Amino acid sequence: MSWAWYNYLGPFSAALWFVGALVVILGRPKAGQALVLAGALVTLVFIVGLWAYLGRPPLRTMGETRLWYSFFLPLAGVLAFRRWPYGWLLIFVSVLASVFAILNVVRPEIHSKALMPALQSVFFVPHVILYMLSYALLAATAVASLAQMRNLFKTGTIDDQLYAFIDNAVRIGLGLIMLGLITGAVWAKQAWGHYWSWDPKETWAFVTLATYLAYLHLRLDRRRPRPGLVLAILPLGFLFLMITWLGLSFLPTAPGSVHSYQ
Amino acid sequence: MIPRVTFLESVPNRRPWQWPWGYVESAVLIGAAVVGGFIAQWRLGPMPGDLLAWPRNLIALGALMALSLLARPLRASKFFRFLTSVPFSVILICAMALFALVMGLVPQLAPKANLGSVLGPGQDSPVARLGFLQVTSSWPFAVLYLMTLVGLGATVAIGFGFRRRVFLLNHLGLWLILLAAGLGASDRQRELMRVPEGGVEWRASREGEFAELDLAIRLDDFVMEEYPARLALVNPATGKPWPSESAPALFQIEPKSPRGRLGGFDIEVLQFLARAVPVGEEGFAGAVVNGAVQAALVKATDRETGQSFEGWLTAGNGFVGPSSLRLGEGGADRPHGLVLAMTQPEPKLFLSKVKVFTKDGHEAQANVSVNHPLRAGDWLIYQRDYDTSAGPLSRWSGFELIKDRWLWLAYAGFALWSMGCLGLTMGGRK
Ligand code: HEM
Repeated sequence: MSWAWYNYLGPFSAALWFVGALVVILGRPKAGQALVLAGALVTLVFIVGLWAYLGRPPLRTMGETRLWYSFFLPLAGVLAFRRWPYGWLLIFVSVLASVFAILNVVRPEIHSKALMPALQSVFFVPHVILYMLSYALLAATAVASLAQMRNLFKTGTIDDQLYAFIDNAVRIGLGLIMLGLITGAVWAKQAWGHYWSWDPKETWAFVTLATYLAYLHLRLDRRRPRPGLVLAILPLGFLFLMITWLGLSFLPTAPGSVHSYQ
Repeated sequence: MIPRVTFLESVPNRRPWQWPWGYVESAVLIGAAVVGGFIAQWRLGPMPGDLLAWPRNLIALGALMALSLLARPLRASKFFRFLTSVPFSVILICAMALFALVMGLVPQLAPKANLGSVLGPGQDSPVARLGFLQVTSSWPFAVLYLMTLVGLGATVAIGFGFRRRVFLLNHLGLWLILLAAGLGASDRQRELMRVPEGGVEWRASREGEFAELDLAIRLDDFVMEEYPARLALVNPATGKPWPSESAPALFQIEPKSPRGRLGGFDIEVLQFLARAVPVGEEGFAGAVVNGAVQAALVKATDRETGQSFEGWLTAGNGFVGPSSLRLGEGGADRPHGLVLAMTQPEPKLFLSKVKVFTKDGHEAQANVSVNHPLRAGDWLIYQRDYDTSAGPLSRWSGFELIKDRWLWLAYAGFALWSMGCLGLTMGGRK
C-alpha cells in the first residue's frame, strides 16, 4: 500500500473523525466513540499496508510519524473517554487527528524507502512509538487544563473529576515520554557514542520534560499554590513538545542537530 | 470568586524568610547561587576541563553520598526539610529548564572547544563571557547541577523505602544518571582514528595532530552496501531539481515494483543493475568489480503527449561519468524541458572488519558498524565515517573511540529509572 492510497484513506479517516465529533456534539457520545475508533482503524490499516510496502517500519519521516500520531491520538481519546466521559475529549482528538491526516495528504514529503544505518536499530520502533503515545496523551492534558482554567476563572470552582483526569494523564504521559527518552539515550550510546549530548532535539526534549515535572511536583504541594498558574504549565509544556517535534527546524540551533531524517 | 491561594498559605501571616521557606525563598537562594556562578564565569572563564578528573570526582561522589546519608537522620531539621521540599525542587527544575532553553535557542559550541580559536575577537562579547555559548561547561550551570544533585540525593535518602518504590526508582535512577554524567565528564575520553584498508593504526587524530593510544586497530576490510538510488527530474537550464530544490519530485527505484509516476511522466524501470560497468556507446552490463556503479534502463512516458523516452541512467562515481535522459523539448510550464537523472545512492550499511590489539594484551576480532560498536578493554569503538566521495570503494574507515568509566553507573540509573517510569505509567496516581 503506497502513499497514493492515503489520498483516499486519509480523507476517509478524517471524515469519520469529523462525523464522529459532530455526533458527539449532537449528544450521542457512544456512537461518536465508535466513529472515532473506526477512523483510527482505517489509519492503522494504512500503516500496516505501508509497512509491508516499504519493507521497513514507517517511523522515519515526519509524514510517517504523523500517521502514528493520528492513530494513537483517537485511541488515547477513546480510552480516556471510557474512564472520564467528557465529550470534548473526543471532539478534540478528532479535530487534531484530522489536521494531521489532512496535512499528510496536502503536504506529502519525500517518502524515501531508505533507512539510514543509524536508524537500523531495535530501539527505533519503541522509541518513536513511545513518544507518539505520550504526545497524544499530553495533548489531551493541555486541553483539559484549559477547560479547568475556564472553570476556575468563570465560576471559581474546580472540577475534581477533571483534575483526576489531568493528573493521571500527566503521570502516564510523563512515564511514557521518559521511557521514550531512556530508549533514545541507550540507543544514542550505541549509535553515536554518548547517551546524552545536548543536541538541539535532546535539549528541547529536556525543556519539555522539566516543564511537565514542574507541574507534577507542584501538584504534590498540599498548599495548592495558585492553581491557575500551575494549570497554565500544561499548555506551555505542550508548546515545548511541539517545538521539539515539529518546530525545531525553524530555530537557530537546528543546523547542528543530528536528529533530522528528512 | 477565584480562590486566592497564595504561596504562603499554610502558615498564615508568614513573613518572608520565616520558616518554612517557600517558592520565593527558594528562588532567591537558587538565583543568588546562579548569579555567583555567573560572576565566577566572568572572572575565571569556562570551567577547566579537568576539574573533576580522577580521583577528584571520586571524592566529590563520596561527599555527595555522605551529605545525602546525613539527610536521613537529620530529616526533621529545617535545612533538610527545605532542601527536600516541593518548592525548592520545583525552582531547581525550572532553573534547569531555563538553562536548557538558552541552550535550545543559542547555538552551542562543543563543550571542550577553545573559545579563543573558535570565535577569535568575538570571544569577549558578554554572551560569550557569561558562558552562554558553552552552557554545559559554565560555572552557573555547574552550580545548579550541583544543587540538583544535593537536593535529589537528600530527597532519595529521606524517601528511601519499599512503600514509595515508584518515587524511589524515579529519583534514585535520575540521581545516578546525573552523577555518572556530571562526575564522569572530565574522565570521558573521545578520540578519532582513521585506518587505511589493510593497515594498522594506533594514533588518534586530534585537529591535525596525532596522539598515541593504548590500542591499535587493523582494518582488514571495509564493506558498504547501498540502497537502490532514486530518480529525479532536473531543470536543464539551472541544473537544479524540479519542481523545486526543497521539494524535488523523486521516484524510488524498487526492483519489485518497477512502475510508477514522476512529475507528469509514467516511469518504468526496465532493468536495474546494482553493480554495473559501461559497455559500448550507451549501455551498461552487470559486473561485480571495483568501480562499479548503480545503473538503470528507464522508460519515461509523457502523460500529456504520450511521447516516450528510453535510456540508461547512472549517477556515476570516480570512474564512471553520470548519464541522464533528456525528456523532450518541454512545454509552457517548463520551457527548457526536463532531464531525468539518478541520485547518488544512499548507504544501507557500512561495516569494518577489524582486529583490535590493546597494550595490556586484549585482542578482539569483529565487525564494527553503525549501531554495533566493539568493546576492547575500556574502549568502545564506533564506526564513524569513510571516504564518501569513493563510497563503497573507500580505502579507509574512520572510527570514534570512547572511554567512559562511569557508564555502568548511568546504565544502572537508566534501569531503575525505566522501572520507575513503568510504575508511573501503570499506576497513574498513587
Ligand atoms: C525523573 C524525574 C522525576 C520524576 C518522575 C519525579 C516524580 C515524583 C513523584 C511521582 C513524586 C511523588 C512521590 C510520592 O509522594 O511518593 C515526587 C516527589 C518528589 N520529588 Fe520528584 N520526580 C522527578 C525528579 C525530581 C527532581 C529532579 C527533584 C529535585 C531536584 C525532585 C524532588 C522531589 C521531591 C522533593 C519530592 C517529595 C515531595 C513530597 O512528597 O514532599 N524530583 N517526584
